[in-house]
Amino acid sequence: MSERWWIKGGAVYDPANGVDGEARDLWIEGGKIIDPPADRSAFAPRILDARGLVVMPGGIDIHCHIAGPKVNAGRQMLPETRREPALERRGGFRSGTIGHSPTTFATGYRYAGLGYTTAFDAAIAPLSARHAHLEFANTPCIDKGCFLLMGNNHYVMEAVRDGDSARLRNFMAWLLRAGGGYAPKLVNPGGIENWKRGREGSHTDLESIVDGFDVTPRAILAAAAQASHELQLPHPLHIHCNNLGLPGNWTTTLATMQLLEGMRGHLTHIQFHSYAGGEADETTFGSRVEPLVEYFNAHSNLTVDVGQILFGATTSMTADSAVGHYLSRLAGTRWHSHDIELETGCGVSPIEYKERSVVHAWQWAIGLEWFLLAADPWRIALSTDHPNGGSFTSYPRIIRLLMDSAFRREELEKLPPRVRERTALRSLSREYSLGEICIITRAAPARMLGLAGKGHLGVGADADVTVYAPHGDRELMFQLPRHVLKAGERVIWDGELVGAPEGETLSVAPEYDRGADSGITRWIDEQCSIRAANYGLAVRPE
Amino acid sequence: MTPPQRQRWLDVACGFCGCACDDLNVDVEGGRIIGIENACESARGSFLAGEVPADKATDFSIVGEPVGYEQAVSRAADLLTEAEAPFIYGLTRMTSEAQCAAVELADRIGGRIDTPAGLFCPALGTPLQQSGVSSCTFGEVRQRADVIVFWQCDPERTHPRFRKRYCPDGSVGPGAGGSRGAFVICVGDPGTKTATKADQVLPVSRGREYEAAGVVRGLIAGHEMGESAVFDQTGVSLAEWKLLAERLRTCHYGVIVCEERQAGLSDWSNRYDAAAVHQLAIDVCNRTRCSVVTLRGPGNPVSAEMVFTWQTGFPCSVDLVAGYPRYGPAEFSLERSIARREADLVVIVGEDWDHGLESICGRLGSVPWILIEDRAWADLPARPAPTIRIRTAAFGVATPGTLFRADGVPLPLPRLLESPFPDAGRVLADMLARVARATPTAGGEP
Repeated sequence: MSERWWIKGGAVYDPANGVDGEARDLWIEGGKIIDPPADRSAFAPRILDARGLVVMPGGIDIHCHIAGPKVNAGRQMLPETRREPALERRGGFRSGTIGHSPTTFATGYRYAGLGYTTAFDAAIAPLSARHAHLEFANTPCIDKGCFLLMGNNHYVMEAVRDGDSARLRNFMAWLLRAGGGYAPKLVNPGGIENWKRGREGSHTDLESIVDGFDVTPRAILAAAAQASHELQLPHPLHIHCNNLGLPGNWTTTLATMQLLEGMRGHLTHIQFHSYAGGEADETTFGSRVEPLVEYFNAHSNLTVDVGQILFGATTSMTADSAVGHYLSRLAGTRWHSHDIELETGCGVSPIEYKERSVVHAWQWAIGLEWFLLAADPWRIALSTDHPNGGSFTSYPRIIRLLMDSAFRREELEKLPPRVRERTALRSLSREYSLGEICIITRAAPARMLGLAGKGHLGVGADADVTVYAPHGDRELMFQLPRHVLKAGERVIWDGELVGAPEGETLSVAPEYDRGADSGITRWIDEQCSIRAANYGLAVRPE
Repeated sequence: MTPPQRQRWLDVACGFCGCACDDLNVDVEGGRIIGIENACESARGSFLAGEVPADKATDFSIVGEPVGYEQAVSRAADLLTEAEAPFIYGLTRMTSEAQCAAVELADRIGGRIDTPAGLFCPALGTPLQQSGVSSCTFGEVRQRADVIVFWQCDPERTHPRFRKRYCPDGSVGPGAGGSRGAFVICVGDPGTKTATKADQVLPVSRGREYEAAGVVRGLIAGHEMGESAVFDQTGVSLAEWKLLAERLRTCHYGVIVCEERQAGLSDWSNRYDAAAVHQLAIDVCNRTRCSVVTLRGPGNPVSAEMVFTWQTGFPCSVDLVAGYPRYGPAEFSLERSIARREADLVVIVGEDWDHGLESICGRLGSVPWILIEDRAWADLPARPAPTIRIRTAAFGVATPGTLFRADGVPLPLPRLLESPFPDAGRVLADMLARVARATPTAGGEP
């Protein structure tokens, strides 16, 4: 039950409202932050004595993979990783397993245990949306939503080819409604279609023709960004650029940034798209963060999340099937690929990031270079592209790397000389402040996502509140929040999980020309192996 | 004029064979299904059977004595509370939502839970866990496949509309190639209807699927093979295998269709075959695109695997006795659990009785068991009488919820008929609520 609260005297970090660690009181009623009540005794709140503690809005993960068929394939693929540690059933809480992709209940509990109260799955095929939403219903403690894959959708590519912007806009709006999505997502636009047609690799620059559609990735990107802008979506187009992971891909990334000029756009897991080098020669692999970040700093229409990697074993999962195939062949691992008609692909394979690998060490350094070179923390969000770069549970380690330059130097010294001597990290002494950490984990992602009620603690905000005990080791501090409230309800109390509210599923319902409906449903009836009436969430009247 | 009480449902999904066709049109009048379009013969029968009338003598019973729903559920909850090693089994004729309730019950009471797929899952795990899987949705078969290999299966018999819906152009004749239609190869019994419509038939000996996959993989990798050894091992000449390998190697998009029995999901003797076929497709993918499509049996078995996986991390055969999920394909099967006296109560819910349970029917009498079933007692094959019987709403016609097609595409099931019986998910939740009252640690809400 949502209660009345008086969170008393904590060091409040609320950068959206200009509060930077000052002692403040917070008042909560009906799951929202409210003005101080006129009559405190009549208000009769529970009191959370936060004196000496740090108070922040609940964390927001702008880009992770926590639901749907691809995540489930990842869960199933590696049973050997799920034995230890397991999550035991306790009291009324469900059991689960962790591995690289925790089970749904465990995902909710673990996010809450980290002080996070909102997360977005970044890659759901509309055809599978019903599956993702079923998993969301089993993911407690957090609000959640999904981005719907559109970058290789045949209808989208046909509309782009025909230069029919109205048709594209209507379809994107229809799709977001049909699939209960929060934002449109492009993954390797055009490249997955080419891969499904048998083209080797995902080497697709922005001018490559998509076989069978006579469009280029550039045209898809520009038209989808424009349509997202016209639909006035809270989150702009969410872009996984072409050529993920390939040496020399920074030119594709820069060209993508440039074509977005004048429009909002979010480039995700930018770390994977900032590489020097060519022709698969490891010695030429390196960082090209500097030219990219220079452009980024000068263009306020752009936002990014980092996709930081951490050393260790994880599972790569992506709609970018070409990348999945490449990785599994590289490492000789199990591989799952699933082609989804008219829409996308899917690639899943285990991966281990090793400190001694020059490429992996570069990836680690490149992510940190982005964090430390980006001038405006309001336009960069913390992510690992969970579980691709590492688990969301490793966010506290990244926070320590950003806040503690001595620790960062120690870690840097473990890397191969070729990397540690050439990365810009060597000369970067910047340390994030608590206020800046609050921005990149809460306030900025909320603003990027257009979530007016989240990421801040002003009157009217959702009462998603995390209370930390300050500690010199920032990893420890952020690993173990003292208390977490979700919409005013206790979830973590004295470090223990005590509640599991269901949380909401967030979606958008943009306005569009309903005259387009019949054409869209006719196209699905003709092209798709299921009927339009059963597509997406397909809520049937009872 | 259509009488006002008649209702026509369009584009209804069918849960009665693994095709999950969703283009059925169903006419309902007076609480009965009176007409159906686009259904295969087997689906037609299942829909028209609809909701079998209540039978007060057997719908809800305790040791054969008719009781009310509340009494039956209460007694079932008592048995669950007393049991030290309960086993929940079935979950095929159920919506995804009801399957969620079943896994939740197993979790909260600390039992084992499994499905028919788990009954026959090799100890090595599923193909995804052994080798990986390259797969696709049915629509990709229709749109992209230029070579289709039916691998020891006969969808014309088991999944009558599969070929028409997803391989619509059928055969284009040997050597024709081109973009319209696929070249169809049948590996298996030449006497099947599927084989008679194929462009090439390779009559591999039964039980030699593993060797056959190995030969094709070897040829694709460029290995030399001895003619007589190949023929001895597979019953098919090397020359014919070479043709097949060449087709796969040079196609644009190959699809290998198998049935779950050959996909290692339901046959003890073929535990390596599935991984071999999947590995073959993965090998082909290093040159061009190739997917495996696995046809599944009736009901909602793929959904059960999905629900198991997102709630426990494992697709079947999960033991929750220790308080957390442990995976034991083969080891935690119902048959072995009963035989080793590791189950002292069995709950069979949403079971598809056509599907291999005969092997354990004989053992069911040795422990108390609860039957939660959507069909009338008289319509089920003979077996020992259950300790408690609870009748549920008929799957597929009176159970709104989610159905997963064999390729993982989720579909909605509408409520075509009002049932006098509760949904299986509701029964399980009611049982859990009563167990939770008796043992608060089993808890509902935290």
